[in-house]
Amino acid sequence: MASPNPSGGFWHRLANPARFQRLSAWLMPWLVLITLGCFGAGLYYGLYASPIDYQQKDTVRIMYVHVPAAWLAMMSYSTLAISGFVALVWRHPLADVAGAATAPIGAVFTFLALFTGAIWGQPTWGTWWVWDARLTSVLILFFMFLGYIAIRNAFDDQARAGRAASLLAIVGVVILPIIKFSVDWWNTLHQPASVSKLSGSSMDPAMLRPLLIMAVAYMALFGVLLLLRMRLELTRRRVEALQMARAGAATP
Amino acid sequence: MTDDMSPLMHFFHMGGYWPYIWPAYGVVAVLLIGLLVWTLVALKRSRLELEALEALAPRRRRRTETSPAGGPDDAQP
Repeated sequence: MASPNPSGGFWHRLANPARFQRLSAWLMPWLVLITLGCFGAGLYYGLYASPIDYQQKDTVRIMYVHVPAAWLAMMSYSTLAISGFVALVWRHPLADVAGAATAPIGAVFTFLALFTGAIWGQPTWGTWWVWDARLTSVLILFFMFLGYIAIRNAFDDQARAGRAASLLAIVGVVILPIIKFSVDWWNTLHQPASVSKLSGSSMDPAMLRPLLIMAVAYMALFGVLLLLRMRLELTRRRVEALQMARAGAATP
Repeated sequence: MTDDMSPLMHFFHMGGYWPYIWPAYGVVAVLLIGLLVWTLVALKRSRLELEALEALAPRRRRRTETSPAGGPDDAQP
């Protein structure tokens, strides 16, 4: 009988950890190269070869580390929710590994978005923090990553921990549209979207260039970190399985 | 004030906004590099742990093979 899922062949081949290791070994040097190249170019344009904003002066340079961090925070959460869904519905073992690997990366990017945003807020808004919709919803996103990590560590049974954490990730996906549209739905100090708009970007190309280069650098680094943490998670699970087998052998 | 600064000083001065710009970039650098190093160290450590366990495994298997009543775990090497 044919597989009910047309892409099942590819995904099932990927489910094999040995194949994943081979694919990740092939991908890794490219991702490292893109990360280094784009961070080099992004920092050069962002800190030096880009104009200052007529209102914000030099503080606009904080945008090049802040905005990509916020994008990556949301991308990390999407990864978490999708891997949770695939892990729950298709019992794909690598999806569960990917979820466990993504959570700390997402927490770091979300923290960076909040922290650099606070530093940017002080000179431009005159305050480090306001409890408005955009900032509060991103803070909730940060706590959701922490909650996901806490749930994974709360169970002794790895499979149960994975299912509970996956469920949280799927239910929590409502936070993403709230973050995205919070600047349109509620009154806020935070500026509305200027890059991804239906009418095209309203940003000067000289500022858009460093922003997009830094975004590619962040994404490539996310890829590097994800692959490394997936390898770590797979190794840890193998260690745990061997330890359990040894403990089982020791007690007759 | 900013006119008599060297080009390098001018760069670090960031139009007077250096107390905001450099900490923002600094925190990003520290946390991202820190996450990478932490991950690499943990990976190295758990690989060593796995190697040590795998080195122990053949001995255990030999023992269970020779024991009269084999455990359930010796069916799969």
